[in-house]
Amino acid sequence: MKKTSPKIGVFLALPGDWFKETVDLKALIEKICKLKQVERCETIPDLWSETFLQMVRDAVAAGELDRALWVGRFTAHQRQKLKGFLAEAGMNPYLNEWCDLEEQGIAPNRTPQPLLTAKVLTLVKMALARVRLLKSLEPLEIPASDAVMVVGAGIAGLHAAASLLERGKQVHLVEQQSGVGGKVALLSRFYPLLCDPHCGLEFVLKNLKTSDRLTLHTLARPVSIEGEAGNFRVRLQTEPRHVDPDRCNGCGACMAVCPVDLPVFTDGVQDEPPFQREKGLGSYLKETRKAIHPSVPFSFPETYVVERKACPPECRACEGACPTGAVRLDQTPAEEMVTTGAVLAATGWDAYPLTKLDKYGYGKYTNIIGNLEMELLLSHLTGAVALKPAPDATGTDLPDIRLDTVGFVQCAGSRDSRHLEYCSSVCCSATLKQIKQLKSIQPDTRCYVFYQDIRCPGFEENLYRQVRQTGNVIFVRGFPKVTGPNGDGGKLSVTAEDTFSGVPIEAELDLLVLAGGMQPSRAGVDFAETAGLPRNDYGFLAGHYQCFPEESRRTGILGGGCARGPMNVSQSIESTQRAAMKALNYLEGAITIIPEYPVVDKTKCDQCKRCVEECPYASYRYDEKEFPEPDLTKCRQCGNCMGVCPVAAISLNHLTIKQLSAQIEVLETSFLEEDAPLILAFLCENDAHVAARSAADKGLAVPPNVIHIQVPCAGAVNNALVADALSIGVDGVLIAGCREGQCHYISGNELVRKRSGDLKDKLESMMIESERVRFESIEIQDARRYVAILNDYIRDLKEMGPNPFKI
Amino acid sequence: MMPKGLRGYHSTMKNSSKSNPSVGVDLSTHGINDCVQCGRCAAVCRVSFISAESPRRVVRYLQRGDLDGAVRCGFLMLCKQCRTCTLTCPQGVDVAEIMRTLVRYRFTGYEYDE
Repeated sequence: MKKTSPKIGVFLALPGDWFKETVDLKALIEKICKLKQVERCETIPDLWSETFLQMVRDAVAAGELDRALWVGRFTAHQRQKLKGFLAEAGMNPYLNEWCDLEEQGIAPNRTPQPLLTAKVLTLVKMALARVRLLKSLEPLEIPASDAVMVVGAGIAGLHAAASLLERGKQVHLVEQQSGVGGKVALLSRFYPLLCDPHCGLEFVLKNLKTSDRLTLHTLARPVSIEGEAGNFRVRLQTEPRHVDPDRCNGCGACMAVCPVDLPVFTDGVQDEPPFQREKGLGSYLKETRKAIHPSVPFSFPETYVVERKACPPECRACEGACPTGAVRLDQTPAEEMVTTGAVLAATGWDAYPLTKLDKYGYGKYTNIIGNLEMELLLSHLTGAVALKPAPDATGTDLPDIRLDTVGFVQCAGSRDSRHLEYCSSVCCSATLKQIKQLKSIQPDTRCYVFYQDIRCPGFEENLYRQVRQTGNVIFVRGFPKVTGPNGDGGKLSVTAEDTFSGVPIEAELDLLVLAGGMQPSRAGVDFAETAGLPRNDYGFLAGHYQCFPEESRRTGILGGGCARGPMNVSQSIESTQRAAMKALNYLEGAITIIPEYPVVDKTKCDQCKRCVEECPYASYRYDEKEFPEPDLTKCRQCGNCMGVCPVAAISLNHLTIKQLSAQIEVLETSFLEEDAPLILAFLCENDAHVAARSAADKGLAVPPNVIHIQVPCAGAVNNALVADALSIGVDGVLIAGCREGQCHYISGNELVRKRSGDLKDKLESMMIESERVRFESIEIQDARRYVAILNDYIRDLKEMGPNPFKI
Repeated sequence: MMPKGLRGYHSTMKNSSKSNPSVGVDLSTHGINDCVQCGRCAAVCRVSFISAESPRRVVRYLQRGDLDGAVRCGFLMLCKQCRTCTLTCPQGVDVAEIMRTLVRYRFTGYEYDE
């Protein structure tokens, strides 16, 4: 390709009539026209008039212009439209440059006339310096897998998988138990509608069952996750099922011969439940299961599974009994590799181990149970007024449990600095639902609810009202102490203080239900470790709690549902659907990368690895010659690597070190009056630049002494640029970023603070006061503070005297 | 004149962390304002059920700034300093220490004249 010098068109959109009156426009345009490589310079009479646009378009099409500098105020919408318009004529959108005069403090009656002309000219020159160095850029496309992995097949994971299947994606659903359903499959009813969760599960499974794009990995867990968004390589470890799903037809012949009797399925309910068949409440539940049984907790996949640990040694009865020869007792664990574009963690929650709450006597008395066990009890309770021991129960002297008086203890483990410090958010409504259900079976049951605060947000308040209205439910604000069984039919005596009246309350209870809290699931903790994700103070997956709750620190790995915090069923479905929506970005077969990514100049790089260490997203890796190279799918284009590089070898593609230093080079330091200091400000485009812009919009008296350059993050300002600016005679350099802890790129503002130490030495060796560089935190609404900071800085610089390098 | 022994207490009411280091009794460190009045201390207290008051109520008096009301509670005379309340408190309030301080104050500081 023939190398041609750029042909720049400069188009001025004048701020208003006052500008024409104060500035000698003709002279200004003439001056601009004389600048290097400026092909034409015109004022824009009417931006959207056909003649003007046609003229520009023709010039571009004829090759008379190949880049454009738009001087004046253009909104984001107008910029986008102009870019698109010129792209039609064949100009790359990255060859447009904008020079907003008003946000730089050019406003009527504020700047003396000669100064105004000089500043406008300086600004235009600076912008032109950058325009000359602009490159045409094209977005990158990185091929990506269109499969997605959903970890956890609870209600949240199933809903996410269903929506992703609907969008036509390949879904790998990974579940560590033998069947889907998770915690929800253990519940007896959902609140507030009191419908059976199995109905909800069946409904969402309907789509999954018929889809050929779904791969269900049961009894599996991810053991390593490598790669990056678009191309994760996940290694799955699968426990043996001991049943061939292709052959098993679910006839149940194996169950008939299995000699093992296990209690009802309680995995994940509690670690050491009183639901043991030997002496606990389990002996009241009539159902048992065998060592070979359908998938639990919910019988999908519709095949059997053998709990090999429970099998008696040498027993192979099921193998012989199976008419289809599906039993494979000698299966061993397997591993497989799955490539996916995104990973969605819906790892859910675990019940807080109530054995840790020794003060209530859980595990000591049979009739103190957790709320999940209550769910199990309620799902087995069909119209019975009393719980009778199952006929084959071992302890034959077990008394009947009549459930005449039932106590509920809220916040058992939640909101307690010794246990879970947070509110588990669902227990209050769950208890109220259980009372409602219990009352529907046995209306004259008396219930005590020991609580600290009843928390029923939103429409759940209705549930609270309904339960209060049923009568015979006593809400006691205070917590009970279990004084022990009273010796009469195994009733429990409890005492509590009703903190409203200050009067003690005593009660005899048939059953005490502890509303235990939610803690991050074991699987969730393991997943975070496997994927190298940070967890928050409470152990759940950490995201940006307010703005991007589903995102994790690793691009392409998302969290939804109770993996992120305590949620009820509908909230966790909402949350995973949001996460699924985000996951779609990485599943389009290709990931589009905006071409403003960093590029390492390998001829300059001395392999010091600073960029690798300081990248907030850990996106740098090494190429075959040990040079750092950004992983573009992880990179969020903040430019911190560009700022940190000691040899200025890294540049963002659309904001190169060269462009910036060219801009600084042409900066004329002498356009102000003699003793007025000149400040060059680097403003973070997320907050500080917005504040500066709104300061101009609000008509605040922005001092004319400042010229600012917009950067993606304060951390993107390289010390070399600051030194450049000071060495050409700029009196002060201001770097403005977000407030501490609010950086959009995690830590850019802190990195730039840290670097200022290095800069100090450098400046001192140049005989420049280190106070000439200042770092400020400016929030998005801080327009007034921005002006105040500038005025302060100008005053201080005046005291300091002019920069010794000033010409 | 504010009794010397409880200056620290008054400083908690104003949410200030200042306390007089020369005064041995300082309620500001026991977290009176952390108490959410859940009543767990009252439930586990061995003597609150034979008293008209409970540790919770004593702390409530203090939260309201009613020092006289707290000191007048008969419960203070029954408290055996078994510290079960402190061990039970979900908010980490040192309830037993508050009781002990108030008892000391009741006997020594009440009529203290500076």
